[in-house]
Amino acid sequence: MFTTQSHVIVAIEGENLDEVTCSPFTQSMPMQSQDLTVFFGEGTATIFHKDSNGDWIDMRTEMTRGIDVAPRFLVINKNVEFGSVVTSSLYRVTFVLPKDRTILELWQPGLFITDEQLEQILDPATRESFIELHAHNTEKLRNGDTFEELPGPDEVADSDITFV
Amino acid sequence: MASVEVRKDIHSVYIQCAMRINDTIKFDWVLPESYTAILIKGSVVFGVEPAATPALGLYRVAVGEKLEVEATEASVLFVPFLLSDTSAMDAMFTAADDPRTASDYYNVTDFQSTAYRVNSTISESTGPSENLVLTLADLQGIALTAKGA
Repeated sequence: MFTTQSHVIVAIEGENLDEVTCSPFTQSMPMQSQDLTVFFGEGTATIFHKDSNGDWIDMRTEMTRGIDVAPRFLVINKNVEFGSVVTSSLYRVTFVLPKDRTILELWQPGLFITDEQLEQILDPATRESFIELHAHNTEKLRNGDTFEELPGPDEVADSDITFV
Repeated sequence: MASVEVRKDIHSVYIQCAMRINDTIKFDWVLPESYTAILIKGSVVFGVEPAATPALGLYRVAVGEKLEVEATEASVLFVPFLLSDTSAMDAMFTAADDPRTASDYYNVTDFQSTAYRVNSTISESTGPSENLVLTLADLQGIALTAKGA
């Protein structure tokens, strides 16, 4: 996550560690109260959203079009909880947030932005600096058909996470 | 050839460029403030940089500089501006094509769903490589088309 002159850019890069069927990287962002703009730069993924019953819905069941193939420009509706399972060797998306106090405060908990960092982001004196706020590396496994979280990589058989 | 689109959301406008290998794009205008180009796919040479920058890459365009990009492989980049950035917006757009007076998202509706308000393909360029000089008039024409979509 880093800043530009006027925006905060959240970059997510996923690497599929298994050569054939496994997708050990998944990402589930917190539900957001503002529409969220996304540039999906590279890769493919199976994308899910959570319905009102709390069930994860595979977007392929709602759509027949290739929503999960980059490059795409997306705006995710507010109050939608979503996640994705990477199905390509490389996956890269960027989320774009304005340097706006109200909006960034909404995202503060989900993006682990400290109060000090928030002030740093909004300080006009930092406009000309690329500030890398922080970076996280995660490794998770989810079922590519149900988005159910699975045990760690060493415990998962390939047959459990085969993708269509 | 390269393709250039103008996108919009509730807070920003984005100049989005998709390029083939060896395509070049030059923004034939300067702004009174610096801004950033964000490379999300591929690899490009920015300006007079000595080496290619791979995705994910950022390039700061200095005050008075014209952004120049040469793709060393198929690439996609975008340049964001806040709609509230009066200085940049007034410098780039006219009253007719001003994104600030356009509907949210330019009414781009490749398709919508429960989850997505906009889910739109980024048109990857086809055909021979080219050297594209994008003038302000070109940009305004693209924005006007998007506004009327």
